[in-house]
Amino acid sequence: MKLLSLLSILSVVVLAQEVNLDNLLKKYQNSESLYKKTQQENAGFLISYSREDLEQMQAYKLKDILKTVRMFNLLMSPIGSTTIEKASTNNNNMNQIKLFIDDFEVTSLMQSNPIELYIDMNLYFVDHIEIYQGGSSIAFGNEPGNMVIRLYSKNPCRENSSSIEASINSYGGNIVKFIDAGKIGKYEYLGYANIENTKDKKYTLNNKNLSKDFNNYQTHFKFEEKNNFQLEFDSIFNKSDAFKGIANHPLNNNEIQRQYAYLSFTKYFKNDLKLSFSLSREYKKADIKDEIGFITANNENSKMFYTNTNSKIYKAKIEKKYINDKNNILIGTQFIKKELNIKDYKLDHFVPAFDLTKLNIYMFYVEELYNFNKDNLISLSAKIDIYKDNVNKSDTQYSSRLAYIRMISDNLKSKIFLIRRYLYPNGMQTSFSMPTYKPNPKLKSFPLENIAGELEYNKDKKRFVFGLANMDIFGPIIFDKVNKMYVNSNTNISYQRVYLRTEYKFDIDNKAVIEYFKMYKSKYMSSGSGLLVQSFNKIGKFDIYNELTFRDGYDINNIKIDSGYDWTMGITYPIDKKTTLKFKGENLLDSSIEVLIDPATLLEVPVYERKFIMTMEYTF
Amino acid sequence: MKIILSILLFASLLFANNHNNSLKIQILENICSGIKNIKAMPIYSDDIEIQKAFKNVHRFNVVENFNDAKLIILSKNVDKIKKFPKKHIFVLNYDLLETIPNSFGAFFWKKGRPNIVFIKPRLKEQLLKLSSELEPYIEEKIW
Repeated sequence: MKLLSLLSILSVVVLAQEVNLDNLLKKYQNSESLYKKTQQENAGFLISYSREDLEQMQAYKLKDILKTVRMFNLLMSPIGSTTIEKASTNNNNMNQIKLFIDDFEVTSLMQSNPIELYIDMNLYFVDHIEIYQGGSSIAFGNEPGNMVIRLYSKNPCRENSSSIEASINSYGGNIVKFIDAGKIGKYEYLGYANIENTKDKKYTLNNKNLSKDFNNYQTHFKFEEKNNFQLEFDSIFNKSDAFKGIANHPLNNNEIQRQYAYLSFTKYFKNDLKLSFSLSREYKKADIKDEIGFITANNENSKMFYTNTNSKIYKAKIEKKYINDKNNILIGTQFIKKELNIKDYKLDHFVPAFDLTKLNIYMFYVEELYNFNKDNLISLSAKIDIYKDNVNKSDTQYSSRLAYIRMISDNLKSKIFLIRRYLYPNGMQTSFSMPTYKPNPKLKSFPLENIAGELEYNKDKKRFVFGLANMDIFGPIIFDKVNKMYVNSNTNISYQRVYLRTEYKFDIDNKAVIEYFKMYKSKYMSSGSGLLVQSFNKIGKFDIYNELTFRDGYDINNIKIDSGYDWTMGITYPIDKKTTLKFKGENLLDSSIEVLIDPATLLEVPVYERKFIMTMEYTF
Repeated sequence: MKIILSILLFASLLFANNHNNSLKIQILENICSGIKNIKAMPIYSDDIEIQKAFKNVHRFNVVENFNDAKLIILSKNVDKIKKFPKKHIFVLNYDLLETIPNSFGAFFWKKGRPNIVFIKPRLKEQLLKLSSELEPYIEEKIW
């Protein structure tokens, strides 16, 4: 009887704690998190970052998130820009990563993907991020790629506020960000702007100073009526020093300017019909001079390179869903028109020809989701893409995907994806090139096949995920050093990958993540394996975040690149309801993995320098 | 001993029952229960979900008619509210705190988080007293 009494008292105490109002508010916030409403389990192997995660991580930039993504490495190009490439590949691979901001796919003509520009974007207007791996859904309707990154802007109804955030870093750089969001009658709006002056560590090469400092300006505007329409505008402008440039003796004032702007309109009709239009403009200007010069694609020496390009992309998309008890069918079609305008391209002598300047893509896709029962879901999808450009005749490509998701038990879930798709050559291979190589408008797309599986165990506070995959690429595009252009190869590439992720939630405020991945490939051009350790903690009013990313070393052309550890720590302290103070240290051990920039002098540079950032946020 | 045990078990069941309700309703229940001198007052909400859920909570006296209520949980701006300055009004939208002078508190989303706030001068004016659990949410004025 005494035991029973004791148990009853205990249960009351435990349950009484649960109804503590602060805890209830946190649980409510967590249950209403927007990432839970947008994520699509069948659309790929999902990594999601909630708003709380982003805030506690002090993830100011997209690359702060991308550096934690398994099976990918952040690299740096000689001109100082950060890129993300599949683990084990190099920064010439031009991996086709697809980026969405809300429903708009940020499509580039000048790059294989717009990551080069958007990787440095600030995330202040972003609510949450989803990353789909393992052959993401065809139903996204995007151009072919192998990883989809989806950014969702903040919901004005949940914001109802104006906030300003200012940061300074230990190199003297600074960022000011402002956001205002709310509701006017039945309409919702979000306005965002930032001004950034980033300064970073300087290097010396052949007695020349190397700088990768940049200025970044971005605005984002959203105006919508729920279930009726959404209008979005985004413009990002980046002006950066060109670091090493194209050769090894860069002169001062080397500069690269990039701008991307889009206007997107989506109309939602009754009966799950959606129609969208968009217009985007991409501008790029490079002005690079070198004391000694560099060898152009025509084997001549040039001491200068100047280019000014402008491209426009028009898109129209219509999608319709048919939903009943067991079926969810999506039918969609999209038209994309790309136009490249090279206003200026100057070298000392030779100038390559740029022939492929217009490309139209017609897409048709269908996806069927069928629930056999509550434990078994199958998804079948198919896509036809027809390419027409001003050089080649039309090219028709097919993609197909089979996904099977099974709840083996209440706690155990399996996902299997079988994908047959292709990769299409990008603009930097076919249309426009740096002066050291020639564009090849005759390049063809190449097929790939992917089989991937994931097992997820979820119980109470624990979550374990184990995944593996095999990918076969048939006749990939490689760089021909003799002819100085990208060509279709006759070889096939095969590689396998495996990953293991564990998560443990101690309570609503404290959790830890450990993740390991390894790629199995015959040749490594960047790290082939890595580890991520994250801890999210709350001590009193302090939010404390710790992150350790490890990337394995590798050999590149008989030069050994050492393994690297990057320890990042963030502390957030709310001074009062309106003011928050934040401190962040990046690459605190100064031991982050480095990228080989100049093989002759063995100049190696980390993507993340050791840096301290102090931030103050004020909400009106 | 048996009586104590019965009370404790009843309390356990009550908490367990609350736990099954939606979190939003639980939060509002906690708020209404924490306003000491309006526990027995007739309550009305223009939010159908809240009105329906509160009817199942025995300690609340939920009324069907706006005019019969003393405490109103208001989600939308209604002009007629201004004509009844003697009613206690708790709002579910922060902007309503400014537009309705006799609203004494709010439960709302701001900056991506759910918030609770009570305005001290208005509580005083309406002679409302809060439990110790709600005191941390008292503010001197609207932000």
